[in-house]
This record gives sequence, structure tokens and C-alpha cells, in this order.
Amino acid sequence: MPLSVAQVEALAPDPSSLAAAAKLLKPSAWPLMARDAADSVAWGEAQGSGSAPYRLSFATGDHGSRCSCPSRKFPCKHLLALMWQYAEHPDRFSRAEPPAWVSDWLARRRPAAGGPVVSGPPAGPTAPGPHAVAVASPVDPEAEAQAAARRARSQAARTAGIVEALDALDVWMRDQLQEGLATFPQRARAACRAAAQRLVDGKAAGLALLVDELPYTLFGLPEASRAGFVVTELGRIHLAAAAFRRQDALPGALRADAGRLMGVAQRREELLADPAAPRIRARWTAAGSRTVTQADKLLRVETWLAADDGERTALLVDYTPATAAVAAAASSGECFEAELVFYPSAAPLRAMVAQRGPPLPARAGPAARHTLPQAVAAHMARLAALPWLGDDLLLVAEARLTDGGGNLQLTDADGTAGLPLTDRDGARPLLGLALRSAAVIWDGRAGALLAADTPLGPWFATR
Amino acid sequence: MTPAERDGVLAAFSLGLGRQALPPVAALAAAPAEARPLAALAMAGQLMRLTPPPPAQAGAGWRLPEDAAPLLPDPARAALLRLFEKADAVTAHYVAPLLLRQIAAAGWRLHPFDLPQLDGVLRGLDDHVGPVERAWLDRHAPPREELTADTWREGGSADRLRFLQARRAADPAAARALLAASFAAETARLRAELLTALDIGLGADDAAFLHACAADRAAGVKQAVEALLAKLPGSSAHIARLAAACAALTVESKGVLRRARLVFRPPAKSATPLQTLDQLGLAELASALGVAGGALPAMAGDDAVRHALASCALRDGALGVALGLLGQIEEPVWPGDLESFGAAYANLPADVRQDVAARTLRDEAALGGDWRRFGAQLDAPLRRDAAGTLLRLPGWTAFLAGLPAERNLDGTLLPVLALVPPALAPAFSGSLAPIPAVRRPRATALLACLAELAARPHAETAP
Repeated sequence: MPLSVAQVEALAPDPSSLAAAAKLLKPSAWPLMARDAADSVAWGEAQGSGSAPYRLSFATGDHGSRCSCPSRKFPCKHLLALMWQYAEHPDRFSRAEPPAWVSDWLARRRPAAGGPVVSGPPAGPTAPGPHAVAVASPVDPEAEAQAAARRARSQAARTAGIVEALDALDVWMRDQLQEGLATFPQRARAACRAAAQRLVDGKAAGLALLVDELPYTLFGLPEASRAGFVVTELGRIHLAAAAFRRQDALPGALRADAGRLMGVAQRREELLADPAAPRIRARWTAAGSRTVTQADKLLRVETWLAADDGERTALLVDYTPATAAVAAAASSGECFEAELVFYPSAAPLRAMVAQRGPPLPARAGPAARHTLPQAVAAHMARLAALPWLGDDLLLVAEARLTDGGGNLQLTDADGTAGLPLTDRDGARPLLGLALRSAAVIWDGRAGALLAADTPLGPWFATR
Repeated sequence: MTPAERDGVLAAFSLGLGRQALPPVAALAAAPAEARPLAALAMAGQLMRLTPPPPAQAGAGWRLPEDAAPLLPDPARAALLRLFEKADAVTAHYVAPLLLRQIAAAGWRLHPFDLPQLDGVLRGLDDHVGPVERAWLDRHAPPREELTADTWREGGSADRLRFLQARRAADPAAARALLAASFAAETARLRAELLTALDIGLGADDAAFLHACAADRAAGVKQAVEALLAKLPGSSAHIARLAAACAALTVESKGVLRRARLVFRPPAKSATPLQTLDQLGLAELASALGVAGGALPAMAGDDAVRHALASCALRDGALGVALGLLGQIEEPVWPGDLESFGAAYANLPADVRQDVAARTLRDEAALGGDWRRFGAQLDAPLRRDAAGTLLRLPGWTAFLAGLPAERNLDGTLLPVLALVPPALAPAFSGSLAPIPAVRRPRATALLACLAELAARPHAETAP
């Protein structure tokens, strides 16, 4: 299938990727370039800096692609260079049967008609990545019953394993309290790693991530904030663990929250079919996105959405291996009408796009109807409903960014209520401006300004 | 848990329960003893999480100044950010000053929200940015105070040189006295730098000071002094240089018409006419050779001598003579060679520099030279008529056709395109059509930005 250089250009994530790709156009950099007889897939090996060449392939039809290089860009420079050469010099590609690694990839990848290559992974940090494929099961009642029984046994075994791991976590936490939290930072890395490993062994991978990431967040904080952070974070982890043990006594939504925090995944099709999952159709604005490299080496790409009612928020999450970065589900400022289905929760936030309409004209910024005190109060209410609530999106109306003693803060219009912000140079041009609205990711300690509607036009944080 | 109980619990946790027992907490009185520490941890942590953020802190803080100039329109902003995204320093520092000048000339200013992304590009371009950009660049620096005659020694080297130059332009003797008063106390590098300020308004009154400085032990200072003395008519260095030039030039009569020709014989191996005639004016040279001043240009025997005489004419301020000589040069003069005219060219009024540059853009001009040098010498975009000439040159088409096919061409194209006036950006874009856009992404962005400047004169769109 023909591929044009213009299409390659359109696929590039940024100009520097194209520039980097242009340097790889020498045939000598490519030990292998081949395509199948039907011209449906092309593949190659690029001599990179690693000991073995990178293996990459792409489908000529929908341009789905993969590369084994560690680049966080997608497509990476190797893929762009391979596509580029395919567009300009298809004769350089020998005809061959796809090797096993290409066939495997083709078999695993989601067909183009099912949406973008990277979208909608199952819930939970252990989601298997962007290339997962939903395989239809044959309809066989007996087999279904057996499978259900197997799932139930497996679930029970997993729950038992998690509870056992949580008991070990209790012992670990008591040890930390016994030794004293003042010296916790000195042993945090090794201690948290060991505790996280035990949780992973017990199949509580979600909670393991919280424990594993604790030291990284801890050392990123000012020294004065560390003691408080350790108490709140360990307390949060304990609350979640205690809730999981008592999940039978919890309301359904909170029980789902507890299971999800442990890493119990809910697959896309299960969520879409779940009658308890709230569905909201609205006009959404992408307030911004951020990419987090998790301790388990997965990239978590978060896209934060604000509804036009100025109150409702949503979080779309995509997981991908760190070797293949993906774009956010929507770029900052993008507006669209969509039906979102929310994961059942006492404080619904994480969602998945069930149906998305065409793009709408961009707004000047996220809509917001609450003042800063009201937005904080709403967050507190959500925290009360979901005691281990993590990051939350606050939509604040009529605010101002100020410099309070050298630290950035969001204040209400009269400058009394304040919300400390992480000090990012990128937001400093907003200092002193009267903001019609602002979207802030709030983690309970400090906020990260994501977007604002200002007299100088919309502002979005750069990733 | 009361605040007092919480404080007691936190103190015990900090020290370690092995050293300080957990104080009683009324709410946990009924809980089993072994469960109390973790329950107290969860309660204390949750209390902290449920505590609203502290009130806003007062503080004037830093903010960008106001500027009434209209903001660059969004399409031009987007192109500007694409152009400089992860740009290499050489490109950024060559293209940015020229483009900033065009933006200012079109009546726009940079959007403050883009300053964080352009920070690396703008740094060091103090002379090309407005008050808002300068305030952004200085945001971490202590407030800058204007230097005075009393405080000028307290400034940085660049500021001090600037101050001395300004002072020199207003009152050469006072500036010299200031420099003389502190000269011995300065570092060798700074002594050499500050001496260059005397080039402005250089006259016989400076001779005594310069002769005193000639005894300086630093080689850099000696060189600076020699260069200045050589420019001083009547100084021994100048007289020696004039004598050497006269010895290298002889007037010979050749041919049927016995026309007088100026023939150059290098006084030293590989010395060029331009080097030999450096620092000399055309009138004094003619006088020393015993030739009428007006006749000398017509006597130039070859292009190298014409080039050198043009330089001498520029030094005298005889622009018409210089342009006439440049026009007679038979071999194409690469515009970048104007650099060889040194300060004589750089100090010309901008419109005259444009005249000289335009004169060098002739049909036979070879366009593969160093455009960076050309741009640096011109220090402004090309005048529209000169740019139009460039676009129509057969050499331009040949230049584009001769570019390598398989690599990114931004590095080659940007130095030329940075000189394109906005009105001709669409025409230059058209001329690049045969080159795939993927090979020139930054060039495309630059021309798009310029085209936006031409398409949106601010007077029509400013609020």
C-alpha cells in the first residue's frame, strides 16, 4: 500500500524526530529492510546504540507500528526513517515472509477499525499495555460455567494471597513506627522496595506501586514537608489495606475502589457492560495531560478532562511499556462531545471513552463554577467518600496566581484563600493575572496548574 | 482524634514507638492494643489530609510588566514554537535576532505564555527583546540598576562596556578619563575589552593615553592599542601602515591607451590588498600615492584591489565610491565577504548596508556560500527589492536543486530564509515546493511565521 512522505511527516510527534530520522536514511544503517508479498507490512532492523539491532515493523495500511528501541517518542525516529524509506525507496525492501517477531506482533495488535492502536487499556496499573487484543470466546454454556468456576477459584486464591501480603505489610509498617519515622528517609528506598516486592508476590501490584513510589515522591519534597508526607501516605496505604480486608462490608463502589487499588483489573469490555458504571455524556475539554513513569517501568499517560458544566471532571489513563511512548488521549485545549463511562467508585474520576463525537471549537479554557474555597470543599467531600483518594482535579473559578513569599499559589479573587502550587517556571507568566478559571491537579499537598482561562487567552501547561 | 492527641501521636511516631510509647487516643480506647499504632497512623494521616490548605500568603512577588503592544497572533505563535522547539543553539541564536526584529517591526510582541519555552532562545539577546521579555530573562536576577560615573565599576563587563561606549559617544574626554582612572585595576581581559570603546570618537586627544597603554604586559591589550593607534592619523603606527600600503601599490601605465593602473605587490607572503590597506582611508591613500582622490577607484587593476579600495572608501564615508567599486567587481563577490570590511561596514547606516548587500546579489552570484556570515553582517532582513532579486536569480533555483536529497535541510535553508522579509515569505515558500516538507520542518515553520506577520498587520487585528 503506498505511503507518502507527507504521511510520514504527519505521523512524526515533533520536528526533531523527523530531523533525527533524516540521519538514519543511509542504507548502511539498516541491516534488514523487508516487506511481505502483499505489501501489508514492512519491517526492518536498525543499528542503534544497543548491542543488538532494534527490530521494528509497521502496517502499511493503518500505519500501526512498533519498535524495540527505548525511545519515549512514538513513532520513534527509527520507525519514521523506515516509513520514510518505504515511501521513497520501496525497492530497498526485499520481499520476504514476515519473521516470527513480526507475525507475533501482527497477531497481537488491535485491528485498525477498533480504534487507535493505543487506547482503553484495562483498569489497574498491571494493565497489559496498548497492544492487548480482545479475543472472542466461543459461546459454550458448559465451558462458560467451568471458566466462571475457575475464575472464582482464582479470584478467591488471589484475594487470600493479597490478604496475606497485607498482613506482612502491617508488620512492616509497625516496624517502621517502632524504629521511628524521623529516620525513615534514610532507609526508605530499601525498605519500600522490599515491602513492595512482597506485595507484588502477593498479587497486590497496585498497592505495591504506591509503596514503591513513596521514596521517589518523598525525596522530591522540601525537607520540611517530608515528615507529614510519610504519615499521610503510610496512613493512606493502611486505610486502603484495611478496607480491602473488610470489603464485604463496604458499599459496592468503595469495594470496587479497594479492589482496583490492589491491582484487580477491570477490562474495557467488562466496564462497558457494567450497569453500575456511571455514564456521562457531556462536552469535555482536555485540561491537560501528563506522563508518569511508574516504578514498574510502565508509562502512565493521564489525560484530565473538564466538563462544560464547570464541575464534573474525568481522568483517562493509558498504560504503555516505557519503550513505546504514546500520545495523550486528547491534546490540551481540545474540546469534544463524548459519553464517558466511569469506573465504579465512591468518588468517580477515572473513566473511559465509550463514544466520542467530532471535535468542537476550542474553549478559552476549562469551565469552572466553584470558587477556590468551594472547590477545596468539594475535594474534601470526595476525600471523605474515598479515604485513599489520590490526585484530584480542581476546577476553580475567578482565581489569581500569586507569588507568596517566593512560592507560587493559587488564590481566590480577594487573595484570602490559597492553594500552594508546585513552582514551575512555565506558570510564572500568569502571575498577577485575573484568571476566569483554572484547572489544578491537587494531591493534598501541592497543586500542579494544568490550564487557565486568562485575559491573555488560554494557558496550558506544557508536558 | 483531637489536635493535641494528634501532635502526641506524631511525636511518638517520629521518635519511634520503641523509644516513646503511643500516647492514649480516646477514639482508640476500645481497639486492641496491637491495632492501635496503625489505626492512629491512619487517623493522624487522614486528619492532615482533611485539613484545608493554609490561607494565601501575602507577598508582592515578581510579575511581568505591562506592555500595550498587541500579542503575536496564534498561528504565528504556533509556527514560532515549532521553529524553535529543541532548536540547536547555533540556529536559535542566528535566526532568533532576525526574526524578533521582524516581529517587532510588524508591531507585535511575543506572547508572555511562550516565554518559558523560548527562554533558551532569548537568553543573551537583550538587545533584541522588549521590556516584558527582558523582565522574564531577569526574573531570577537582582534588580538591575543603571550605571553612573560613580558606580560604573560595579557593573558586569558587558554593562560596563555599554556604559563606556555611551559615555564616549557623548563626551569622549570624560569617558577616557573614567577608563584611565580604573584601567590599571582591571583584569587584562577587561582592559582589552574596555579599550575598544575608544574606537568611538577616536582622535588625537587619545594618543597619549594609548601610548601609555602600549606598554601593557598583556598581549590582548597591546593588540587593542595597536589597532586603535593604527587608526589615528598621524600616529607612528598609522604612518607606518600607510607607508607599507604605498610600497605595495604602484601606479603603472599599460596597454595601448597607456591607462594608469594600480598594481598590488604583496609586502609579505599571502598578504592581501584588504589586509594591507586595513585602517586606511581612500583620501589619505590617494594623497600618499600622489594621485587625485577621485581618480583612484578607476585605477584599480583587479577585483582584490577594488574590494580593498571599497573598504577604504567606506572608512572615509564615501558610500557612493564604495558602491561604485563593488559594482565594478567582475568576479562575484560573496555577500558574506562584506565581513572583511570589518567595522567600516558594520558601522554603516542600516539602509546603506542594505545597498551594499543588494549590490552583491547579482545574477552571477554563487549562492552556496556562508549565509550565516551574510546575515550577521547585514544584521537585518533583506530589503524587499533585494530579496526579490534573490528569489529571481537563476542561481537560487540552482542552489535549491543542488541540495542533497536525503537529509534534513533546515541547517542550510534557515540562514537564508531568516533574511526573507515577511511580504515575500509566501513566494519563498513556493520556491521550496520541490523539497519535501519533512526535510525542512523548521524552514517551513519560519516561513509560516513570516507569512503570518505579512498577512496580519497588527493595526487591523489589534483589539
